[in-house]
Amino acid sequence: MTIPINRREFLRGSVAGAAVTVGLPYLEIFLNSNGNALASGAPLPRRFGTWFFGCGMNPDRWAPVKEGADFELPPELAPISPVREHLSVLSGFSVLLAGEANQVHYTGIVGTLTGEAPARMDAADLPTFDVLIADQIGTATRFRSLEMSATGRPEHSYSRRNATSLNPAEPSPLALYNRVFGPGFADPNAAEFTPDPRVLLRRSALSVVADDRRRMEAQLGVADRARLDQYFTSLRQLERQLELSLTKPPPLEACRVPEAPPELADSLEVGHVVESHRLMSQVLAMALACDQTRVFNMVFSDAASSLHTAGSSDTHHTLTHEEPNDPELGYQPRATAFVMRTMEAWTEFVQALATVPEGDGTLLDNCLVMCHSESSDANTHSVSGLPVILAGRAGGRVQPGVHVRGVGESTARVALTMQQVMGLPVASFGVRQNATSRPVSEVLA
Amino acid sequence: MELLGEFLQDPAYRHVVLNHFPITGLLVAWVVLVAGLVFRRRETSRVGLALVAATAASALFVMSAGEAAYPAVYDALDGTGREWLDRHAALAGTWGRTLYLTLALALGALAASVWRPAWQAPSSIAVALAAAVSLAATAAIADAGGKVRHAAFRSGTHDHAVAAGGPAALRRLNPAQYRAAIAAAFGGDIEVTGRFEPQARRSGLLAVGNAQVTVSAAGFEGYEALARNVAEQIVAPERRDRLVCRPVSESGPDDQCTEAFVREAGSRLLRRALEDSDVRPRVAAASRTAEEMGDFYAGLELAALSLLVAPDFLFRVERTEPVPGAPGEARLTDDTLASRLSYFLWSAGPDEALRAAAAAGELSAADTLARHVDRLLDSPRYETGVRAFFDDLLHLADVEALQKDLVRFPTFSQAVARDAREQTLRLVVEHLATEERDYRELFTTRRSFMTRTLGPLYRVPVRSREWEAMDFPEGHPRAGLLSHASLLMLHAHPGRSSPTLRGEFLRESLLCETVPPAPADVEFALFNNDQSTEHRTARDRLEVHSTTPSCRGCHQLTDPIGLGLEQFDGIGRHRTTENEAPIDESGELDGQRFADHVELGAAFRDHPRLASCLVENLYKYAVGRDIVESERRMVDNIADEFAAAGFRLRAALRAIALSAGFRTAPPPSTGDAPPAASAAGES
Repeated sequence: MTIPINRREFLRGSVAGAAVTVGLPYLEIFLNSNGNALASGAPLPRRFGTWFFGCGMNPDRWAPVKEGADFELPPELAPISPVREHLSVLSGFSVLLAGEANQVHYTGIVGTLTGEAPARMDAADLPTFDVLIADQIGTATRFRSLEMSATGRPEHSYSRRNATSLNPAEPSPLALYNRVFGPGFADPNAAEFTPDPRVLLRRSALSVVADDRRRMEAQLGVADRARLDQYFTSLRQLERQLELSLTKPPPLEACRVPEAPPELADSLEVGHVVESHRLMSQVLAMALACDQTRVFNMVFSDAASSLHTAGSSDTHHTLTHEEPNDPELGYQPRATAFVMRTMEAWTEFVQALATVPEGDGTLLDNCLVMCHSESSDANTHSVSGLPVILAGRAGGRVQPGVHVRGVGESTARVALTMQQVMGLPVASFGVRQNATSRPVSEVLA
Repeated sequence: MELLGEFLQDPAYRHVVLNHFPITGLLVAWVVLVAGLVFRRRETSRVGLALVAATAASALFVMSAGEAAYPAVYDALDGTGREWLDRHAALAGTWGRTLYLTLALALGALAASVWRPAWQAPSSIAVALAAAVSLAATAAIADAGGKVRHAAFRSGTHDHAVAAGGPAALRRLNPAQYRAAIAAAFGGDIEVTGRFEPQARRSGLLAVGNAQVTVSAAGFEGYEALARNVAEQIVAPERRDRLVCRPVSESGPDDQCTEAFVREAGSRLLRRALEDSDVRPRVAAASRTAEEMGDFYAGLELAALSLLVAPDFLFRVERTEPVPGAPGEARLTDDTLASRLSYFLWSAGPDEALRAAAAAGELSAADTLARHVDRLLDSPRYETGVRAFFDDLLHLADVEALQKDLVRFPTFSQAVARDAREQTLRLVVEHLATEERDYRELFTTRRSFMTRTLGPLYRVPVRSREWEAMDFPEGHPRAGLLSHASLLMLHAHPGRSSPTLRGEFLRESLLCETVPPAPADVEFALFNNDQSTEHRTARDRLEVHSTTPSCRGCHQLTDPIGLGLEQFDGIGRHRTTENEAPIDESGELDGQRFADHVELGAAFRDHPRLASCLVENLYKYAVGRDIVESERRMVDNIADEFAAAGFRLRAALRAIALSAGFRTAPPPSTGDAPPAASAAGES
């Protein structure tokens, strides 16, 4: 699937692009914002993502026994077998409650992503760490980050700057496609580049508003001023996006503009969700390959998973609580079937990234993706031994293929590792009992 | 005289009558004593000593009366009053002791003046010093006491003036309000298509959540796309006749025309009179763009766009100002009050007349305010306001996003869900706004509205293609709001009903009770699924909740009333059996027994918290936040007014709109308290 492009074509594209843009006003300020890093042989971008699923797994049937390389796959990890060379499994890591109550289906996810066990629902004010990573590596692309949910609900997103500033999810493959590849998208490999003159009009409108910031802030109290700050941060992000769209993007070998996916019915039936997730994964892979974003958050199922099978009165969540353990098998067969479907979907996701060639390897090699859940054993809402799987090599900084057991250790160690791998200058992460300065060095290259 | 005697029986009254002696009396005594010392008049000094002793002694009576009055006065006070009362009592307890010392010294000095004349002068000086300390102490005690005094002795309960409103807010428009704002500013034919940032529910209301949320990067992209789309339509060639002016030339700038447009559209969108700093940058930017693109309307489009993405359009910025003549107090500005009123009663921005009233300062004056409130309540737009409130309170917007298992519920569709929402809103509007009936009867009324889409679910024939008003006959299983498909399908799982979710919703949204979230470490193995042969009904399955101690505490709040609605399945169809076993709905709501859901509706109607909870929710909705302590008593009083008015919604809305809490705010320095977060329920 390599695309034959010679260097001369690259250069011609750039020159033609420059020729078009020179005639436009306001250009000076953009020239230094986005050099031809790739055309000039600079390293490929490194990306980070999370992949979330609800209601955990059965720890005894999911966590490998042997540590290090060459670990055997327990029954609930069997589906990842085709992609295991790209993965590391982390078992036993927990959100340490630090005296707080376990807010069911909430503490596990907020604790992992912010490093703090929240005192109550909606109380966590710390940013999720994907936002911190996006602040570092997401500023040069059109989208600082992309959030998506296969469940069809924009509110099924766990990425946020604080408790009142959620990054809503794209609720369908088509919505994701339109956001990334719809109006405003410039094909990096297109020979022609014509910036949209209306972009200038839009930028002027935004700058009128941005200039008014000080006057607005003077009228507000501290809490509201923080909310307004976020508003202007979001506004600046769009200004940045518009700036980028005025210059010709550097060509990208791996980028192929995908076909628009079909419109799907809105449904939480697991088969529907799997299909929606599959299509989203493909669109996302190209959004990454076309360098539209370097950070993403995919939700396969929500915390307290609302997925259900056609014709059943139970959801995955209600099954984890209400289905009796099968005395022969020793687990809940119907609830566990959802775990298997989830691990299959995760495998499909990894494959979607691994089949896109990029540079000498694949797109996945330049990604780091953290798969995680809010519970381990959802039946008891346990946040001990949460399931974590890492995929990709982060451009060579991560060495996949190991099982690390972190019994009694905080998931904040995983979060710290992710941030350091992505180049954030942080030495520690987490609050109180979850505070740590020790990355999970076993997964590092 | 008899009347005075009666008053003196009351320790609070005694306290107030006598408390001048230790202060003004002691001051006079001290002056006499010091004069005697300065002018070396032994007799004068002696009179001074006697007066000091007498006034210090009076303080003992004052303090004992105060102590006796404490409980009754405490009960009669609001939160701030209570704080001052406690401070007053604490000061008296500590510094009141100086009066004992002064009394003892004065008596000693008096004795000395008789038996040891040589000691009179030094002992009198000691008394003068002690009395000075006591004076300072009584002044401080009295100061705190004076701040208690206002509310304590008033009779009657309609005492709104004591309340001080909580902090003003920055409130994001919801999608319906956004659409209404566009329609009001540019005409109803402008299409608003695109995506809005999801809303967040806090303290049971989206209106409270909207005062806490911000706009994410993705959300802002969405708002800008909406704005672009609207701006393009406004300046589209076929609509140009409707703009406020025509440019001298279409191919270049016309600052005068642009300014006229910005002023007109801007004052509507921003809900206030524009300042030059709003207008000038927009006109200048429009001028540049019109010049560069050779198109006047491109400039105008820019100006419109910059208004539509302004934070003070997407957010209602509530502003406060000092109250003239009352230092330390703050109130909403007239502009802000106009917005608060119209969003509260119409769920839309203020109209021309209300903006004019605000500009004329008529809203900050109580007498003229009432006139405007009544006009808003008399307007046809009042129905939209009632609709919007109940849509929020009953979570009805979520109904249209519902997903159900279509194998189990083949009759369910998005059209059914949409009509179910509308059905509830139609009943609410007719019952409460059009016919102004008793709110409580909403829970027993046989009245309903039907469409052909809903007919099969309700098993009633519907003749016309339009909405049809109808009355269910006596004995029919449908009665009141609780039997509405909208609420029943919303508080359920995709494949079945949920007594727990239904009970939780009714407790929290209609009775203002808090149902704690489930403990984390529940032994769920006790549950069985609904195909089980031994546990055929939900009641059987939920039996575990009531027999397991760790579950019972919370589930006894939710399950009994939820089980009272079990004859309605996961989409609100009526049934009498589950897995061939008969469904028993009987139970108890806070002491009132019911046999089935019809009686449950009657139990809700008679529940003492039903009406006061509605008032609390209306108030939170009006101000966009939780009720603060200084408003608590005022809100209780409004609930009393609501009851006295026969539970007519209009009376509650009017009382809230005129209340002090609705119009005032804490002074700026204390207005920064973060809003209280509430626990969201978990199923």
